[in-house]
Amino acid sequence: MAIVEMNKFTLFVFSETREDLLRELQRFKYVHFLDLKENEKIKEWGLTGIDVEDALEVVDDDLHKLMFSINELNKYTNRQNIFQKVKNGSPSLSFEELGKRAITIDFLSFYKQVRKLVSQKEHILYKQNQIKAKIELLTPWIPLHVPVELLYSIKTCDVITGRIPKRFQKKVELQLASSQYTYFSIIGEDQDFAYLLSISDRSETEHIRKILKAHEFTRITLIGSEEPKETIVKLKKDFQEEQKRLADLKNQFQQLTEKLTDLEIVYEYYQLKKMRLTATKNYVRTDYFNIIEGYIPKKLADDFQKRIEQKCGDDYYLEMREAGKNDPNVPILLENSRFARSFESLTAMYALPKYGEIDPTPLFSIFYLIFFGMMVADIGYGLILLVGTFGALKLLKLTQQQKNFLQFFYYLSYSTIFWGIVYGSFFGDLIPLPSLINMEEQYNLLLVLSIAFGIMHIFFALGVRGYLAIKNGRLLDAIFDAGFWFLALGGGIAFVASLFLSVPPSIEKTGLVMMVIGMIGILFTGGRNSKSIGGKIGGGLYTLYGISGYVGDFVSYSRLMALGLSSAFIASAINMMVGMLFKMGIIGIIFGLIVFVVGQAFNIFLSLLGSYVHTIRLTYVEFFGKFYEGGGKAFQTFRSDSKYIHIK
Amino acid sequence: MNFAEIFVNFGGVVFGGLGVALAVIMPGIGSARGVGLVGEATSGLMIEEPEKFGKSLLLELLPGTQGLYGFVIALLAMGQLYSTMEIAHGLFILMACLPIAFVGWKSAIFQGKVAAAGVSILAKNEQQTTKGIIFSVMVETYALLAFVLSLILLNSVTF
Amino acid sequence: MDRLDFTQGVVRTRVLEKKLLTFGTLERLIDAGTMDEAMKILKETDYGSSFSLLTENNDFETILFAELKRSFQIMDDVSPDSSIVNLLRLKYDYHNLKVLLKEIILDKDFSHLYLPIGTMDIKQIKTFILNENLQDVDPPVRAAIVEVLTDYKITRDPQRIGIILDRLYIYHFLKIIEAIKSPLFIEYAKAMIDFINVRTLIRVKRQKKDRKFLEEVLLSKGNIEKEKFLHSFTDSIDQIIRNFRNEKIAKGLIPALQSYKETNRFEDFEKEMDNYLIKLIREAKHIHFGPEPIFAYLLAKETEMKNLRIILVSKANEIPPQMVRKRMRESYV
Repeated sequence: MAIVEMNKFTLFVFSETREDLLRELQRFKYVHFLDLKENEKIKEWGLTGIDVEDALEVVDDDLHKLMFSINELNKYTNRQNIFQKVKNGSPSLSFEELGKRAITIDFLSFYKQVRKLVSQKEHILYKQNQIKAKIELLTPWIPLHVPVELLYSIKTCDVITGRIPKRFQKKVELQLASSQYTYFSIIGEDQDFAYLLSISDRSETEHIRKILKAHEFTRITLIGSEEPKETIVKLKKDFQEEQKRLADLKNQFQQLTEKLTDLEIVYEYYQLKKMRLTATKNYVRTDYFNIIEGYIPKKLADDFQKRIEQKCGDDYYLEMREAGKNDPNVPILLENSRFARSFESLTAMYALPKYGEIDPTPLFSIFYLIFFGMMVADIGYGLILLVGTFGALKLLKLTQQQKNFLQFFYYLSYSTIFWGIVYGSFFGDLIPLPSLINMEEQYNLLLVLSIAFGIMHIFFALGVRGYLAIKNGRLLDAIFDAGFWFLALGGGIAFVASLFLSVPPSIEKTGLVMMVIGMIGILFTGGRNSKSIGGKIGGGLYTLYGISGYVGDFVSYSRLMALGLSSAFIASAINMMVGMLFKMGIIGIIFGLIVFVVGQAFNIFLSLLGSYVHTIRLTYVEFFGKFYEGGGKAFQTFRSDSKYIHIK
Repeated sequence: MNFAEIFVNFGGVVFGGLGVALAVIMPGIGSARGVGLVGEATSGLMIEEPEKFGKSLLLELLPGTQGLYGFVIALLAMGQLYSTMEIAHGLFILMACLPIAFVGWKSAIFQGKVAAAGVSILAKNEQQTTKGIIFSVMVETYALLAFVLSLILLNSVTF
Repeated sequence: MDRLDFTQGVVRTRVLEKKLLTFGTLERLIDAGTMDEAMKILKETDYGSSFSLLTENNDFETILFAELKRSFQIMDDVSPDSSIVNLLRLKYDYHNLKVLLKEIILDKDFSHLYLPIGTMDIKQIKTFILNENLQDVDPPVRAAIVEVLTDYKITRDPQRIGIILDRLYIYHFLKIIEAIKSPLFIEYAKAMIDFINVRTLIRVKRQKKDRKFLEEVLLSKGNIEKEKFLHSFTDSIDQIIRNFRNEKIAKGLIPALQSYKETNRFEDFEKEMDNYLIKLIREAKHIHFGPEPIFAYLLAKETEMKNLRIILVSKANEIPPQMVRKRMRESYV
């Protein structure tokens, strides 16, 4: 339980067996490589890294092509498939099967097909855009009932077509009207421009041009040979034709989607290949052999060695020893019981432990369970959570990560139900139930209970701190950093409590004495790491001042009460409204049901989210703050989580 | 009946009513502003990446709680109102409503800002969205405390 | 300007930022063997949508320009306040103005040089100038036109059109920025002015012009006093490096001057300058409410295109990848 013990290995193999070995190790999965090129000593010895940049580039390029094809095709998969995918999960293959199938698939020709279709699609879209632009250009000219060909074929006169800004329209009309041998007409208008046709005798053309030019005239040459109206009809027909071709392309795309799984298999295969190449970067080499360093879980050491032997025969040299407790490079792999495992993601979100530390997951998981339940505290909500997560776990095919997530809430649902029974709460006050603690009246008791839980939580954390110090052989530290705090805080709590409760005076006195001893102890030892006397005194005072922080910590646990109350009261407020609606006859009942379902669903969401976050806070700040440092690197398995295909 | 008499006779229910109104109005305004702010951010995200709707809805709902807290307090306070109540009683109800009224108002806006920033996390790095949600929920703690105090005040003194 | 109005725009920008070319793609482009290969890689990125405009395969400028125009249009749509996007359009406005005034003064046709990204209707301005009626022109632009034309009447030197307009552009830019009241923008503008002044200093020295000319072309309103540049007029490059060692922009300026000293090329100076400015503007990544991310996105896009142009031009001229790598600007992402 807790952090998996690691072995550090250094492996020498001949260059030609490297590839084969890597494949075997990838099947083995649990290897974490170190980058030897970073090692200063190795640099001094003059060993060099292995250059795989070119090979990597090729793989990257292939992956890119695969990704492109998959993304394009994904646009055409129908929805039903996606739904089925969730239900069935991703297809799964073994490592060997994946490799065998991948090399039989000719994805390049496939990529070319997709590529071709995409270019065709782009071409059609481009054509359609052009047609649209042409239609737009011609639209203002619809009223012109002359075939365009005829218009431009007039030999004796000059024909000018174009547009002017509307603000000049009047002015231009006036000026053109003064000409003698010119026919002109405003054919059409749109928001900003007037479209103008003018036919004038050669002798006057220059004059007309000048007038137009002074008014921001832009010449437009009409396209087509027929009347603009007819040309537009033809263009629209062309557009429809392109549309048909587009639909045809869509069909072709859809046919290709049947091969999507094949592509995904190749994609995964290349991903694995890329990982092997990236791992190769961590090697260093001489002319004949390669060296690699890394970590493997200690209990898999024999298997590891066997696999190497199988691939390399006798031609290898392996040095293996247990990883040092203080080695900062040891990667962290957590291993916990089914229950604690579902809480691991919370540890990882904060920071993984360092190799010398302990895995805090099992320690905080019990408290997390209790606190979460206390905040949601509703039988109904708990049951919904229980049925929902249980059903999903049984019915759906999920990845390990999703499973852990659901399992996490599955366990939490029990605690929620338990606290629901304690508070007598079922969807708030929907059904009156007997309660051990009545929330509406006994909130003082609830507050005391919350803080009592807080004291337990924090004392437990202090205990862990003491235990860690003893385990690492620092008995004095355990006494100074945990023992004195126990005395000071425990005594203080007993003393303060005795002021409000009637207890025998002996308890009051013992409490006071304990507190004073503890505080003096802290005062004298708190600054022991400082070098100067002043530093020692200041440090001691400062550490003692930390007691105020503990007071804040204890008060922080009042959120256990607060969230419990808020979710219960919001639920009862919803029930109250529903009750009012129910009195209003049949329509009221219908609306009441809607309000009930929507309102309660919203409250479930709110209280689950709130409780999740606030319990995290209690864990990270109040609990971890006492003993846990973290900062370990995660163990990078030699096979990352696959995207499309589940690899067994 | 002159004004003083009205004040003496009905002052209680007027002040109590004021408390109820404030408990709904102020956190309501705050929540509307907060949800609106996040809504603007999320709608920006929807233009580019509509598939992230689920997670962005989660972020958008966060600053909405304060309005709900105020509403619950208002409902509970309303249950205690009656037309002939004494001035002291009415004033007490008003006081009991103030914590959630003020804290609910401001905290919803601040929470909205944090959640809107969280939408940026969702836009750029979807895996880390949980952290944005956690930051945002932390702001709510204070509205929660105010809510619980208002609740206790309403229940603690019997007239 | 209410910073909260930008919330939606900032989120949209964040998504768009993800589509900026990554380091990996740029590397692939640099390593691509031929122009065709590079274009193929580019086609699979966000630039692919502009490929339908391509007529002749090698004319990548069409694509770059279309993409630039598109980015500005998107940001127009994203930004609730047009002044931010127009701020970056200003550069193109002044470019167009420069071309226009040269056209008028030299009586030639440069219409192929216009970049239709600016805010001004350049044709309209042309009519206004020809009619000698500048009443409807934006005051700073009107002042710029008047200054250029009067200067030309006196000096008869068309070279000065560019110099004057470059200076007025910076002042106009700064004026808009001061109205926006964003500390990051002001820092950006001031750093830019300082860099330009240093570049002017070494350029004037190289062209062997006199101190009076330097005084005229130096920009004011930067962080560094004009006096300081005039004092450095007779100093060697090494001395100039020492003189400006403690300035705010020293982190970028010193490498810029050093690489200039080694190669004697202004491009190397400008590369370091661009790098400094893009690093400065990266601050916008941490701003969630305000116009900065929109500004930064457009700058990032411009930098990206600068890099693409370097790569593609080098493909056309068969310049080896390692040379290209040296010239690449740092990108925003």
